[in-house]
Amino acid sequence: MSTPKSASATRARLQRRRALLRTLKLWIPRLRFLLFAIGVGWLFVLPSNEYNKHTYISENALLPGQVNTYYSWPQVHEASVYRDNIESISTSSIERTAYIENELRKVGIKTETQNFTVNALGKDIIILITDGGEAGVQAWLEAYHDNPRSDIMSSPLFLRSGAIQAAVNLDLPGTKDYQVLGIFYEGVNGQLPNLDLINTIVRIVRISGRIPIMLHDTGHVYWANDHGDYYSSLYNLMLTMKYQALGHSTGSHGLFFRYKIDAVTLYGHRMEASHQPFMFLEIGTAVESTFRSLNNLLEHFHQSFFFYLLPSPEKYISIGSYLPPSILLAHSQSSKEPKIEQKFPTPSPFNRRPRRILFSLTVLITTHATGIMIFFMIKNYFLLNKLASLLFIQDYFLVLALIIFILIKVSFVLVSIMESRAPTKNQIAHRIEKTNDTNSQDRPQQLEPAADWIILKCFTLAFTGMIISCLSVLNFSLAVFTALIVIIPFSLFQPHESKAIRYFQLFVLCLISPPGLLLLSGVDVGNFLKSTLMEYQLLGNYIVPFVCCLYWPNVLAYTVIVQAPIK
Amino acid sequence: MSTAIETSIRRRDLVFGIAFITRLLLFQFSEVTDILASRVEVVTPITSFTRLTEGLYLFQNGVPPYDGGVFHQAPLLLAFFQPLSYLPDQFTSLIYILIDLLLAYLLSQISRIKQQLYKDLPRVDDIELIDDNKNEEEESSWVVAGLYLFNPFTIATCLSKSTITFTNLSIALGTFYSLKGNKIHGCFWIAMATYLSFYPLMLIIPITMLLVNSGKIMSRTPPQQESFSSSSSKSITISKKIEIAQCIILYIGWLAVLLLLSFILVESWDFLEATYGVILLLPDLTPNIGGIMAVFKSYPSIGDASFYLGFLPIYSEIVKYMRYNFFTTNIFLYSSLLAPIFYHLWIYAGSGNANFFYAITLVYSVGNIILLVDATFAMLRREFDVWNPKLRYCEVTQR
Repeated sequence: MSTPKSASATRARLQRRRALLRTLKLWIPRLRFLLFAIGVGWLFVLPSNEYNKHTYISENALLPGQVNTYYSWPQVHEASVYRDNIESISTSSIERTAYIENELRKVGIKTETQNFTVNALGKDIIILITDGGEAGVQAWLEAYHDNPRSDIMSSPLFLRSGAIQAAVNLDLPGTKDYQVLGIFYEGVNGQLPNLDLINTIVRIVRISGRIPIMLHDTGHVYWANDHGDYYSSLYNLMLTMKYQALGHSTGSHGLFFRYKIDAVTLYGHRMEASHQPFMFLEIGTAVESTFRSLNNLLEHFHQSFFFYLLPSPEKYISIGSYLPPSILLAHSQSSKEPKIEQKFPTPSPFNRRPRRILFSLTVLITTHATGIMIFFMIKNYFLLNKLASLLFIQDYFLVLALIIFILIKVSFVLVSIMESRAPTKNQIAHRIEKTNDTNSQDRPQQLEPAADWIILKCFTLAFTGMIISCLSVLNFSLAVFTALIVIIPFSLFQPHESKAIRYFQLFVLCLISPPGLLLLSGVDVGNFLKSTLMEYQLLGNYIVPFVCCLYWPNVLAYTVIVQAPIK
Repeated sequence: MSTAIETSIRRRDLVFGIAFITRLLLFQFSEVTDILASRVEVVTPITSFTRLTEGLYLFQNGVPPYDGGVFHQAPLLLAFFQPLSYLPDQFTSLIYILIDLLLAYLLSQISRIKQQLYKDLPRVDDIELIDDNKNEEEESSWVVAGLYLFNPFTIATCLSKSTITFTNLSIALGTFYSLKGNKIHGCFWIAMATYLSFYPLMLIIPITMLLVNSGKIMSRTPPQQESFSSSSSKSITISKKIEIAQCIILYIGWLAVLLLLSFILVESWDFLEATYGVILLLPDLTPNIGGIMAVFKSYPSIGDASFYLGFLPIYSEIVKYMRYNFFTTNIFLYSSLLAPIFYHLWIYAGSGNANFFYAITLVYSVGNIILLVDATFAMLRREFDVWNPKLRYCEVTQR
């Protein structure tokens, strides 16, 4: 055991280990940007055909397209008659409701009218005909589950038939022929229906109707076994990710997810007459076949994926393939520990430099409290607008002024506290003297505490990384966009000697703060705020609370960091 | 000098004041407390206040409280909460807040006693500046209290009114009295902790060691000083044996008294099966944050972690040696964020399943284990440094 050979071997091993550690220490800071680049590159690999897998039906009970359908020309004729009758009636919704209810009753279906929704319960199929778009569906869902969440006042429902398995929202505008069937599947907050539902519908449409399919309204039309080119896939992905990131539901189906009901919207697109038109026959057979497939389900959808991206209707990217880039993006920077150890020949067994974390934590808590305050102000946006109009000020001007005032005040107070905590020039000179003294003793001493901004930056980066990676399981697209926006500035920015660089950093931070992003994207701020707030209140879209309570506070913390004293 | 002590005392008052006000304010938001009281990470079947209320209701209406199979807590808690049920809810909240403050106070006292005991022990003189300065002592004791009081886990446990607070209080009291050398109180509180949640049973060993060695913790002196004590070792061992026997008899006696009192209260031995039986056999399958084997405890909650994390800053000299602080903090943060998210995906959104939540409980357990291993390593490495000052800056390798 103590032969000279083994001793020398141990020494060699130690030296190798030290060399390795030194190399790692040297390379990790550079590696961080490489990781970021890999993450971004990976995102662009996602749409390529080689990377994706073919969709398949995971739940065998569905047996899509293998059941007989009975929907045929006689039914088509009846449908046309109904359509013509509805068209001939006046446009008033009450009269139409009465007609529809009457006709459904004649067929023998129990019907019930909700304040603005008519609803019919069959054996296991619920036909829901709504007016007023998403609000109508939400009102019905709340009444059906007896679970009032939003401010919609609706009359109670009396007909129920247990837990709903799946919903297909038919959105067929107008009364003419359609050329392409569009599938919309993103729900509120980026939730998606089980992939089996989409697969089933796609397969049935292919088999029974021979209808071309489009994802959303992108204009990229897919026939059977057609996967399109890279750009169309990229476009589809980008659109899905945009909807998901904004938490925006692409149709009434999005409201069903909250009640654990998988749903999609089928939309009849009218395009140039290049395609074979389809009408009641094709739609009817497809819907009947879908319902017959779903009828075979014995339990709730659980087999296939809930987390996926669709580059084309018959290709999917599962969570295992798309999550790595987002985690790479989030963690390329967050693992950066403050580089505050001085160089000594051997690593010290203990931490020699005190890290005063309490102050940095207080800064983060303050910025987050500010964010929550801003959120409550935006939440009461309409109320404040009324106040503004009483004071004869422009719309949303009051909210904006208040927010800007709070932000500036908070950051100034924090920066001035940091300045008062930083050591003066005399202290620094004294310290240098002291270290010169101690160096002669050749022994590492307890070092001066690390500067506040280093600790704060470390915390903010770690916290941002944590938010992004936790978010990527809830809403992958929002996580990716957040990472792409903040990671590079957050990892590079720090207080700088030069005033110009400091102001440049502040300017960039203003651009990536929520108002800056809104200005850059060029949307109408007032309208955007109104619609997102409506979605927050009616449908529980969490983009506004996320931005105010988690995103903005970290940007604010960075505005404090870049203005902080260096020492 | 005296002004320095005064400022640190004022700071301590400030810490306790802010902690009190924060809790009182948060208790006013019933949405927050309701959510916390139903989170599986915060309350477990054996600490849930909702279940306690249920048991109390049965008890007050003359139904045996353990009949429903819902209530799994010690009978004496019923006796404690019965008078409170006639008072407004605010009183219950106030009691929980006060218990938390008392716990923090006890921790700071324990920290001071520990500093007194360790004063004459050798230390790593480079980083642990020998400072008999009273001010330092005061300051570090209020830091210990503050770290306990402002730990989010502690606040969440307090707001959820989890009855684990009572177990934690008993353990803290037991440790405090044992450090003071008070056998009767020390054993009583450990018996109480055992009575309340069974697992503190194993604490009787360290508590006995504390009681027997209290005031003379000299066994950890460096090797060169150890030789002279061997002459009188025999008499010491005999008196020690008597002391150990005293402690164990006291402990068993107190435990028997508590169990008998419970029997008199609920007039049957059913509670044994409903409380300790449930802890050992796990018939209640409510999700919880422990893979059983991972943390060696059935039905763990963040209340357990908050309590032992409160003890960590008392050993600030060991924390300096710990290597994975940043990593462990991150694990705790991630798991406390991801656990509710995955629970939501599993139970409400329906897009995840039980494995999601299970995986994150494993991560949480791994975090606990890494903290434990890291602390043990830090302690060993520090002791090595104390005994071998010349090797202090050498690398340690394993063969």
